[in-house]
Amino acid sequence: MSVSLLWIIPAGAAALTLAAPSARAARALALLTAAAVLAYSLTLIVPFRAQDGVLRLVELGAPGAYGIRYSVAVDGVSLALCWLTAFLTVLSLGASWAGGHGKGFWAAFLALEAAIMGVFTMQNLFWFYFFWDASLIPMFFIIGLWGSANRRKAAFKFILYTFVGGLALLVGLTGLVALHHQATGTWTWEIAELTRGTAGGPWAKYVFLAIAAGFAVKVPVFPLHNWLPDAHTEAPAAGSVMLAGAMLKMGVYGFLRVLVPAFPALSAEALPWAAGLGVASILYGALCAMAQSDLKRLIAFTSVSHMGFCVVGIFSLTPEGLSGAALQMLNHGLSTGGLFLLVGFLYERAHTRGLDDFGGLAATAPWFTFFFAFVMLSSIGLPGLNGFVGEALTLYGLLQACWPLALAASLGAVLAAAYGLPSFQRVFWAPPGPSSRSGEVSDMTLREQAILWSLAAPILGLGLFPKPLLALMAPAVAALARR
Amino acid sequence: MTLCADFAAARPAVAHAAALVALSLAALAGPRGPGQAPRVLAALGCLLALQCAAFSPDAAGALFALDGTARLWSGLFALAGLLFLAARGPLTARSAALLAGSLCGMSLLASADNLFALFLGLELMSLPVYLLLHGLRPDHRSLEGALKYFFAGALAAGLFLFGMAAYYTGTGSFALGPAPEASPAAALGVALMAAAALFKLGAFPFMFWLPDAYEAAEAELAAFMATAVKAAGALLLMRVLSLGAGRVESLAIPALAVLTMTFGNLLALRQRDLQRLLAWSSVAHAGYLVAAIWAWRRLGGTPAAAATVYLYLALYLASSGGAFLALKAAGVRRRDDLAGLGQRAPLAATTLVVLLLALGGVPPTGGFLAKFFVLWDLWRAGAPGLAAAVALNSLIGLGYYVGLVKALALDPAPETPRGPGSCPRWGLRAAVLACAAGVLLSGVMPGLRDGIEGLLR
Amino acid sequence: MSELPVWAFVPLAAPVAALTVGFFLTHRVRPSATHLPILLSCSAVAAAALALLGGALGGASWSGRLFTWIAVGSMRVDFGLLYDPLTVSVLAMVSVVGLLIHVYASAYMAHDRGFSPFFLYFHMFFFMMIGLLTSDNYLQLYLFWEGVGLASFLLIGFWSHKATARAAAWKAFLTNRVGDVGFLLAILLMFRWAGTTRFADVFAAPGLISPDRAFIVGALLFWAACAKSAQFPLYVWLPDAMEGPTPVSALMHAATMVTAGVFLLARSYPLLERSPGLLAFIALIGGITAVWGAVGAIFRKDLKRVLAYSTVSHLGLMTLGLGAGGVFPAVFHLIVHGFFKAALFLCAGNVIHGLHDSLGGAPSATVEDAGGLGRDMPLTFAAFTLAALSLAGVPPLGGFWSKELVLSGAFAFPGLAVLGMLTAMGSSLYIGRLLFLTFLGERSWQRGKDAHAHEVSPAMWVPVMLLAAGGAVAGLFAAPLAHLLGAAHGHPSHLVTALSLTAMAAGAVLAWVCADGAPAWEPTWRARFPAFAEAVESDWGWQPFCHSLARGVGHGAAFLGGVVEGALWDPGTEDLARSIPAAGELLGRRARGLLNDYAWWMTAGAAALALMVTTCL
Repeated sequence: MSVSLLWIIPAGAAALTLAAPSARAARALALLTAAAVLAYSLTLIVPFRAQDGVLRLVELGAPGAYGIRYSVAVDGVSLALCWLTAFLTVLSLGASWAGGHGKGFWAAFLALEAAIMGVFTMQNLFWFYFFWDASLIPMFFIIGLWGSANRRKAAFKFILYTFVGGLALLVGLTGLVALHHQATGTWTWEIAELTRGTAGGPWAKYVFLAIAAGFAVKVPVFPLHNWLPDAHTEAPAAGSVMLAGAMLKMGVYGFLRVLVPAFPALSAEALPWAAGLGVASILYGALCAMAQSDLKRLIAFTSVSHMGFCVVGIFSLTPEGLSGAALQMLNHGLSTGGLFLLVGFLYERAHTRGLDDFGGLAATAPWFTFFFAFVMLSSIGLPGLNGFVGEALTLYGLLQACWPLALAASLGAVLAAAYGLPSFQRVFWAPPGPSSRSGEVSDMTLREQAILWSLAAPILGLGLFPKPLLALMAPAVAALARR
Repeated sequence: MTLCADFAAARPAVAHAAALVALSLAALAGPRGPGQAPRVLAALGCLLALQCAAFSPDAAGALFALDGTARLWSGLFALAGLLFLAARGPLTARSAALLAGSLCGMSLLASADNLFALFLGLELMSLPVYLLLHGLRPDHRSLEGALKYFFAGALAAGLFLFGMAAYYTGTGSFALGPAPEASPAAALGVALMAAAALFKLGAFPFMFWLPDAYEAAEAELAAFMATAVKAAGALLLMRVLSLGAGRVESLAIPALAVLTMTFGNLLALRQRDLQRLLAWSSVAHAGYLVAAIWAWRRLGGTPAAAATVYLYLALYLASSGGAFLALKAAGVRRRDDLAGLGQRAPLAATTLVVLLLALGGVPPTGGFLAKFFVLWDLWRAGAPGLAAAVALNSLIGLGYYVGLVKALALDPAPETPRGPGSCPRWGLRAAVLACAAGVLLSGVMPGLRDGIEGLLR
Repeated sequence: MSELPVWAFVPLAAPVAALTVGFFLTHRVRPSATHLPILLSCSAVAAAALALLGGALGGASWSGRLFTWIAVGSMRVDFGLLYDPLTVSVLAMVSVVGLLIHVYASAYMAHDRGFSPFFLYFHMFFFMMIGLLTSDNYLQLYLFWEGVGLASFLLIGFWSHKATARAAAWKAFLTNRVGDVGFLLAILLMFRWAGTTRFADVFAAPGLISPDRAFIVGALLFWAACAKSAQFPLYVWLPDAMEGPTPVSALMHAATMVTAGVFLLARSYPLLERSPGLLAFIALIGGITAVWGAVGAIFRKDLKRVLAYSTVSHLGLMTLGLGAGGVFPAVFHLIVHGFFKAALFLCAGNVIHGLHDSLGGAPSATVEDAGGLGRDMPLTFAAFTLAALSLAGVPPLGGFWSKELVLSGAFAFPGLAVLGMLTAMGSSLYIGRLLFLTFLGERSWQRGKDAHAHEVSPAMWVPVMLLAAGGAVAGLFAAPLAHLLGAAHGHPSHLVTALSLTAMAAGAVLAWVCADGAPAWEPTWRARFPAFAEAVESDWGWQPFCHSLARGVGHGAAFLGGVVEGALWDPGTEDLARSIPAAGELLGRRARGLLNDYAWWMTAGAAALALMVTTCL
């Protein structure tokens, strides 16, 4: 029951799909592999439960020079994120089933899944960074080749912007290892050893900032976010699901796994700045979302707002805040993934994403109305659905850490309603726009309904019964909390 | 007996010399036109050199010594030669002889243990390349490129000789070991020799000739120059700096490195001609190499740091050489020809994407491995500023590498179809595929560096 | 607190079952039958509620834990059910009124195209309200609290083709969300200081003993109650909520949903008690809202808007009662008000339904459309009169008793007494005006050529009659409710009764004079004082102020989203990226291909290198 299979199976399958006889065979193989990876990742809970300690299912390769070795392990948070990635991959492949794409499309998605699984399971900084940057290439081609109108500019901007973050991260990580060497005299790239809080000295501040900047570009945190709307608007629906659902989590996971444990004192010291930027992301993202007239761009800005909650939760350094951040990652993956899928289905029918092109769909497409309302409510944090749990926990953590910021962050809930409901009204209740009048927006097919039902179930399930998942992530989180 | 000892110590060079002799005779007596025979002969010479470098025992003569460094570098040169021969196709005996001569010079340089041998190898390497530059494609542009290269090369050779003389007056010996006592004359000697080495590497301010020469050369010769000649330059710089006279760790070298990489990247951004773009990109990579060599020097010349330089050169050979050849295989010369290549020639486009990403230092290709270890050594050598400069420059580099990938993969094919690309010979296609495969496989093997370090000990 | 009996789960289980059957079965197969399982569930809930009431009167109360929702660090929340006297009494009213209004709605909405989705939303609201009443901790209450807000959004905007309905729904949800943020912060502070949100533990927690902490949490809870129970600053959404169908206005925006805020304050009374300043503040706000609502109701023309402002006024009275007199007067008035206000709204519904032809299908009627309907709709007239008298506080009807209790509580403070009297006078004035203009007086609607009003079907006037009767006899509930809530139930002093009766009579006479005596009076003063009419129409400028506030945030967002993001930030980073190739252009001019340039560069470089290696650096 090795964890490495999580990334080896999709990587191998990606190569196979390229060599598949026909596009249809490639498509079938891709979906089969994605389903297999999902099933496999779910069965990992059995051996995971059998062991104890924070990091479990550890696998170590041959030790190389300077402590660079292949080491893989999973804790509560990364296992949950692997489930999310596998689940969203199956959904996004299912959603683009009828898209008539070539072999490259399916191979790119499998390669993307392999890279993201790698990031979530690697315990050696070298391999962590390896998969971190490797995940950009498939995403670049997904946006660039199968996106919409000016996809090329968006893909180019996406990859250069995230490479800036990546290189800052690389310089930061090498610096962290050097600082560790200064303190202990040993060279190692193992996260377990590096996160014993040994890194100190005058350079520590700059290394902390470099790593934080590297992760912040990926989250994205407020000032470094504007690659996200372009990337989301131009990416295909399935690409947006993977980008919002799984890739944004790599940044937050980086905070949880590398930055906070490696620099506990500096993280506590950076609380007002980091939480301040988090709150700025919440409010700026919500306000910008209110001003958008393109559905996908609106959802992209809501992602900025939601990830602001994660950042706030992490830097509160309280057990509740950290669990809230970890849970919010999963919630955001589910709700935003659902929204992007819905917008993708609408785009397939009407080839437009403008809010005012639709309208009056409540009469003609009841299933669209139901699912869009359901997922949008989860996204704006209606209690009883999963969004609320994450927001409540992160707000509570922030309240303990710094109460004025908690007040500002709670405004985010009002602004969330301000972008959520008007967009619902403009698309479903307002008088029919050009696309609705032309009658091309038919209701959801059975396949699409099945996909959305499989998303609605965990959204409601996590909303009412978050305890089991929080218990799974509790040991990993307890290790980080300082309060 | 010292002659036999020297012959034993310089075995890889001897192999190339044998091929040189045979080819010279063939050039005199045999048919004048290009044929397969000279190509096979030269390839035999390279294979023999590889075999000698790999299996012959260590040996030391008066002028030469066969040790780990010599083995590895000779192997690298032989591989570069094979790459050239595979990609070139039919070759005239005269050109093959010149190639064998240049390879022999490089091997001499690799196993040199004495400044004389070093100079001998340097000149024997350079002269044939000037001739080949014009010989392979005799037109006025290649003549202009060759002449510029020749004059600059002559100036560099002069500098090297003057440096040797100064060094001899300072220390009284030509041996390559660390200088007995640091006298100003010895320091001057080292400085001038380092300047010559920087010229061979193509570092600032000695690199202005490079784009004209590479643009004018045939693609496979440009590949050979960008890889083998640059590796020889790097080895020369390492040998000269190991003399240790004067402040070899002075800040001049990192300053030159940063200027080189910035200059190379910035100019590569604006190039329309692809071969000239790759020329400026090789200047940028020279900058990273000089930084890596300086870090090697700062870390006390340990085999570990030398392994990083060697790994960088090996992967650079595969990616840059491969890139030059891939352009030829895809039949594209200007940047606008790239549009729609993805649809026209999917295999050529995919290999070109992999090689460009490797040059950019993007995982999962080997380029990332090379760049990672250079950054890592710079941190270990206590130069975070230089590490940040390398990171920033590789970001600018990504600007044009990913720009090319965007052009060839994403841009739509132009309306006027550009006629089917000339179906490249199997040799060229095999060489390009070999480079791409090498780059991809090495991406997942950080253990390569430890292996090289073991060999260098 | 004995364990939960089996039928204590019925109030929650029945609606869930009905909704599931409704959504997955009848909505798909036979949409016209969706209301059947729902009516069944309503009657089951009513029966269970009355049974619980019986048990509670016998002194029993139940509570039980369902499951643990969250257990992270110091945040531990268990969901559970609680049936204490407060819950049981309000639940009884809500379930009975709910059942009757569901029956009414099945007839009223019979011809509507969205009959099935209407009933699903309507019953979802009913389920959320039941959940809100029966939850045993603040977080669970908050969960159903927002659920009720969502249901009101869906139901107000039910006729989504109308722009005013969409705007009203959105305004209702946003205002409620503003209040809910306060509620969430109160809950988080409870975790911070008390570590729990269960009612019993919160009141007993040492962390919340200090008055100023109790004040902060209490104030935040009051802020949430203001939004939900339409108190002064945040009442703006209730008048617009009349855009929804009449059964919605009756059930949600009169009898049940808007009372949730008062219920929350009643539930948190032990906490509010700790800071006396807060109770006085609550009473004051209640008083102001009461008068503000009454004044608003006097000048409105639309039937349902008059009743909406009347509801705002009576909610103010309940808050006043809670602040000044304690839990019993507020809850008693809540229950009585639930009956007669629902009856009044349903009568308005009957009038709109009766005038259907002359209104041209418009969803609401104004006083000018209706007039002299007494003879044509005798049964509705009778029910309306009965409920109106109860509202005005005519003894011996229920309204008199509950208003007396509230006013006697208010008499402890001079200012509040004046506000109470003004409200008493105002309520009889506006309800009298409505009664006279609609049912008595000359038949202004006959001006329409083919207009005639027909009495409504039994399925509509029977529930109305029952509700009106309930409102009338509610006075009898006072004693048992006082016993239930354990409050002292003395007769109000004769001075209070006398003063309130005179105020009521004055109001009635004034109404008679303005409405029937001089029917032309109203249009004349509207023509002569247009500014005053416009000010009254816009609640003395408070409504436009709130709209401009919201529009301001909208413009801020447009500026941020459009200008900052679109024009400054995005292109900014792209220009930054483009500056690098520009630098390349600059350097490019150096490499012009001239050989002697190269030679010069090389010798200069070699010289510099030699200098630096041999000597200084």
